[in-house]
Amino acid sequence: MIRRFFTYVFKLSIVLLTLGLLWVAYLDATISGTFDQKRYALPATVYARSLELYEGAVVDRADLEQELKWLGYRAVGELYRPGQFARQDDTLRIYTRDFKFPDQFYAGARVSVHWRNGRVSAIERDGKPADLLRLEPMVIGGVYPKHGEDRILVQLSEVPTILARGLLAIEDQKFMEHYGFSVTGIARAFLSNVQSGRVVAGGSTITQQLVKNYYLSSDRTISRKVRELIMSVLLEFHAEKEEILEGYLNEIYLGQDGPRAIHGFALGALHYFNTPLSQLGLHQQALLVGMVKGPSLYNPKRNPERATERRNLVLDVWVAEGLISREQGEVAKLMPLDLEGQESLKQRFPAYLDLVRRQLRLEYRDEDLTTLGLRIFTAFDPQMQTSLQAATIAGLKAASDSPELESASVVTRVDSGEVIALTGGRALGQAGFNRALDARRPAGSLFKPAVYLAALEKPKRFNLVSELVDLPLAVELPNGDVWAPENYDKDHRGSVLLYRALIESLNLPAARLGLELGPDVVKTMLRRLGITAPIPEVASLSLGVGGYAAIDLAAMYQTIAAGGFRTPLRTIRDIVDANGDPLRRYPLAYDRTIDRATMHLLHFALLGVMEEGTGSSLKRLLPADLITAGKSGTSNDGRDSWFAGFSGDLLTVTWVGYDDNRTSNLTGARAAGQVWARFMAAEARRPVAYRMPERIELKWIDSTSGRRTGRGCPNAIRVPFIEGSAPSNSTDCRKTDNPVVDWLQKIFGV
Amino acid sequence: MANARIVATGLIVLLASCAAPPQREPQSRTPALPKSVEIARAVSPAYLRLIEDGQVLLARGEMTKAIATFERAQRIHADDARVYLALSKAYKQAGDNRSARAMAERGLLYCQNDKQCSELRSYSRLSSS
Repeated sequence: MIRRFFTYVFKLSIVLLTLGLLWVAYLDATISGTFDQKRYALPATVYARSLELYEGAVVDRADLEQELKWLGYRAVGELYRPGQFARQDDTLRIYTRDFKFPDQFYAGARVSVHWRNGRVSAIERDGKPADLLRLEPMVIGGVYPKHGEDRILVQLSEVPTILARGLLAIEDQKFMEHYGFSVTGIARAFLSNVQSGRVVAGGSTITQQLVKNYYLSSDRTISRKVRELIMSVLLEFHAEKEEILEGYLNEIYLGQDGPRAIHGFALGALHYFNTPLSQLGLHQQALLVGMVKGPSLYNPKRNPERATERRNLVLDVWVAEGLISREQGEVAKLMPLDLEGQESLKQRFPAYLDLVRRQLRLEYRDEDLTTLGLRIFTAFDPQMQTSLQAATIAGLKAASDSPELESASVVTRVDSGEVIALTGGRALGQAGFNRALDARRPAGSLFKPAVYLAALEKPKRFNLVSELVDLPLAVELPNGDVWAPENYDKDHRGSVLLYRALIESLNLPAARLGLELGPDVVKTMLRRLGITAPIPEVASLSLGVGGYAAIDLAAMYQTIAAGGFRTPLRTIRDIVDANGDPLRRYPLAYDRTIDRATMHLLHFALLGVMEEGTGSSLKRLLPADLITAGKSGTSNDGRDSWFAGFSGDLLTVTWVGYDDNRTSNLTGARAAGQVWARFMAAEARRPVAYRMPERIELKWIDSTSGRRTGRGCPNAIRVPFIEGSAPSNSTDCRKTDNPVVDWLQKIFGV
Repeated sequence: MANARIVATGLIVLLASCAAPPQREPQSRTPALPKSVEIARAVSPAYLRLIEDGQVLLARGEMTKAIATFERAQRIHADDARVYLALSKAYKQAGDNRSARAMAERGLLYCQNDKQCSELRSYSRLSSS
């Protein structure tokens, strides 16, 4: 009987041992197969453009200081380390940081930037004259996995020695000696827990904490604890101590930034101090180390007193352990928390980041974007964005008192098609419905330039002074309804010159012309201009029927502003991998889809819109020497207010309206134009100016009749024509401004 | 009488040409740069240096870096034709005639003198093949 019992126990033990070994083998496989990979799961980081300074650059000194603050630079009296700047009369001295750009490594240096009359007049780098200063770009966001973990990976060699050793002094003094767990640590924790009657100490080593974070849940169960112990021993067997410590430094959770979880000391340094880990002061290192025990409890932003207490305790331990001198400890304890004074720019521009992510997802899988540590360099300009946001607030206020009136704007650089700023609603810093990309609204009169452009492409039939019919129109639609558009003023003029019809944004001539050309021709022109959204091929297309977001219309007006060169709207310039090696470039690209001469004719009319048409009321908001071209748009009953316009350097398209599509009774200029003009007044630097294309000839035209006339004659204006397309009929007036010619004409009758 | 008219017309043309300022490119409402006039445009030394750097990279065959450098220059002075000419040459060297042509056409909007315009014009006529 006894023998049978022992045999049974023996067999059972064999089975249990086998199962146990299999379980350990499984845990071992889990660790050995994933430890390396796990450490490199990094979200993509999105950067703004890098600010480049050069002699002659129009940069306000205050704007540069703002940019430096955004980058985490501190204003000091004397420069002694990277990340600092000092003011001195008309000079700003900066100690720049190292940065690896996609095309070059740029070493940090002491630089001086001098100003004269609002422009950069000279730059010195390490005391020698320099042409160019390239500041590192600021991080504006990332592409995070659903669990929201974010981190910046560092190697152990990049971590300040005091921080690494100080971390061990606080969290795991026997780290270099134990094999994954510490019996004395567990005993100490057990004693503390028994004494207090609850779980107050874990007694976990750094290895155990890393295993728990990597592979296990936070459940406080015996089985989880046993697994943690076994896996810790296995990890110690597989990895060097330095690797484990490095993993821990990158893995540890240090707080929350909205939906984003801050992991690792490198990101912690940027998040709390906006300073690279390698440049943290002792007091800052101690604070981060202290936070490991309870990132929420010791959050210095929320609980500054508790955080200071904890930091000072850490410093006391460091002194006691001989890591720092007593004097260093006392000095560090006297330091303020020294948190980042300004809100970080990260995640503050959700609408722009949304566009970046959409463009990324066209080419990358989500998994790649959230694990490969890609670095995305964009054209985003934080100065322009800040200015656009200010213009949005001021423009909406000027347009209406309603807090529900919404707005969306897209700003591009005319010469590159880069999207540099974007707003998706009046709640500027909040993610949510991105109206710039997703609010699909009728384009109203913003489509009219496409109609006139299609006409002007036929110079034998149309020119800028062709007479168009401005009389009521009724079109029976296939479903039996009748479409009868009206002009905004409900009036009609009988006939009107083509360019005046566009300047005054008359509906009837545009609708008639669209029908004459054919909706298919108008649709083709819209496609050539860059509209990719669905376009209904119907009679009312000329007046903007359909649904288009601001980004669609920005693509169309980009082609117009660029003189007929279609350029893909880009946010991304370069993508590099986690090592900084280039993966992909998005180069400057042009595709001429409209003849330059024909586009020049359209520009003539769009300049007229701002001079004497529906945009002229905005001139008072713009600098006198800033020549701009634009077009207003209003959909039925003022449900949508649009304004699209450009200077020589910037194009901005703005929409204003209500989410529930109610009427606002605001015209394009009175609502969207208010945002547009305020932004352009602040940021546009170059007037519309370029060499007149070949095949263009200028003629004097009587602006009332559209006939040829003489310079100085009544109503004479100069109008561009494609060679040979100017009208042949003329007025009787032959006046010129040349008195000699006038005198001879009078005498000889020629 | 007919002879008198011819003489008078000739006189008018002669006097008119004396009285009028030198013939310039006519101005439309869109401000246009005068044709055939050399303009000493003030450009930043950084712009010229970046073009030079790009040309050095191009000579070394580092095409991607050369184009990236020219694009940095273009961000400084997007309204100067030299950078478009440089980009056009770079793309031609890379065998991308389509892009070379597009850059040259773009540059024609900003060319400053006959030599520059005519060089750009020749690149703008490159065939795609």
